Amino acid sequence: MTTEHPGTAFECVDPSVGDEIWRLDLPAIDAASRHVLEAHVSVCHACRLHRDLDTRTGRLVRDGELEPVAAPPAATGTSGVARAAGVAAALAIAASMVGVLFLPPRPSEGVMTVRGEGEARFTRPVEGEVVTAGACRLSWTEVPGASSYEVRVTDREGAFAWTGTTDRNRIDVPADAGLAGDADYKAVLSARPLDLLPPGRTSVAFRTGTSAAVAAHRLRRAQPWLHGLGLAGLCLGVFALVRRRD
Amino acid sequence: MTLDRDNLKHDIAAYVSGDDAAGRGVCATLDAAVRQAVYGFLPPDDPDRDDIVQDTLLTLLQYLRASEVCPDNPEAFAVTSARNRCRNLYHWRKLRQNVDIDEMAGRLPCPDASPLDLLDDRETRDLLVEALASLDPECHKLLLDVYLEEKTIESMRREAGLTSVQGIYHRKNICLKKITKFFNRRRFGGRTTRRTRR
Repeated sequence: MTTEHPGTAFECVDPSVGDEIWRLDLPAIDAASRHVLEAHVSVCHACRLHRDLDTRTGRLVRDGELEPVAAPPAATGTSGVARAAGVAAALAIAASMVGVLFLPPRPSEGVMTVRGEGEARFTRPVEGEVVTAGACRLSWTEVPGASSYEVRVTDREGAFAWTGTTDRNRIDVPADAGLAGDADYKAVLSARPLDLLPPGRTSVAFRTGTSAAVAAHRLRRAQPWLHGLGLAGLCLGVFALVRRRD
Repeated sequence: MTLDRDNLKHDIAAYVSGDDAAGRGVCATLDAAVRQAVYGFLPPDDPDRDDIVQDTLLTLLQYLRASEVCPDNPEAFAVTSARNRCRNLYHWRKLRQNVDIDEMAGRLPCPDASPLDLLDDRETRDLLVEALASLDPECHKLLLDVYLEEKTIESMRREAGLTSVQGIYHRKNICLKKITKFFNRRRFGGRTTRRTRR
């Protein structure tokens, strides 16, 4: 047995006849056709609704009870502006989110803005950045004349230490190095030959955290223009919604 | 149970020709399908289930006599008619669920009424204003031109570049279908059809 919710739209009992009921409006319709169509309307709720709406609308319009409202604007008018604003809003918000995710956040205020300036500096993570616990990549600006680099990562208490060497300007701290979650670390870069960089001069402090903490940090410390872009997108979105309702 | 469609059409033709006894055959053949449709809509304890089955079959017979034609698919005709009656009853009850049952005595319920009769004038008017405003500019203008009768159908035909006035009536019908669809969606079709096996 089936159960069906009765709150569904009315259906025509015989669509081949129901599709022709408009012919009842024709002044020259023949009597036999009129007879069949009227019989159909009398038994079909969907067609009776259709005809009743025709009659009721006409009567209300003629009686002046149904004010002839202004014709709805063409799609190129208000709705066109709203649609364009909606698209622009979506693009702006998407662009700002991509920027927040993939561009480096602003470094924390402090010493790192000058530390290593003019010589070498870490490009990722930036000072104070939150990175995911486990594996992470460190990168820095190249030092002219350096044949290789050594990076030493330590925690605040000195209990953790990991050292890696590379001949490129980036290095991956492997997952088995044991970077713990929710902890502060410091990375110090030295170059070979040793006299190319003053000892301990090029360093960066960063923090590990969960993915949510990383996302929150990037959102909070995103470049100001990304915040501006996102805000502009939101404003455009609100504008588009308001115009659409109007 | 399968329908004997040939026999059904034969009974309908006989009934249309004036054979009242053939009407009983029509009802007997369609009874199960109509009953199944009504029982699918209304719960077992609904007191109006059997009345709707009877009304549907009687209305079908009246239609056959009045129109003197056999529907293309009599079974679909009867089943759809029964379902529409259930919908009408459902909306009738829903719109009056806060009315005192004693006040409704004597005018209860009317599944044969026009769906528009279920609504009060104010609601119909408000919905019509919304429906008209939701139409595209071409439909909006056409309906107002037709209803206000400030232009003749013939002049509208010339403006539209049509060869016959039938085209204007046909276009008007298309626009009205949009209004009907609006009403069905906003007032009568709030829920989508849902089928569950029991």
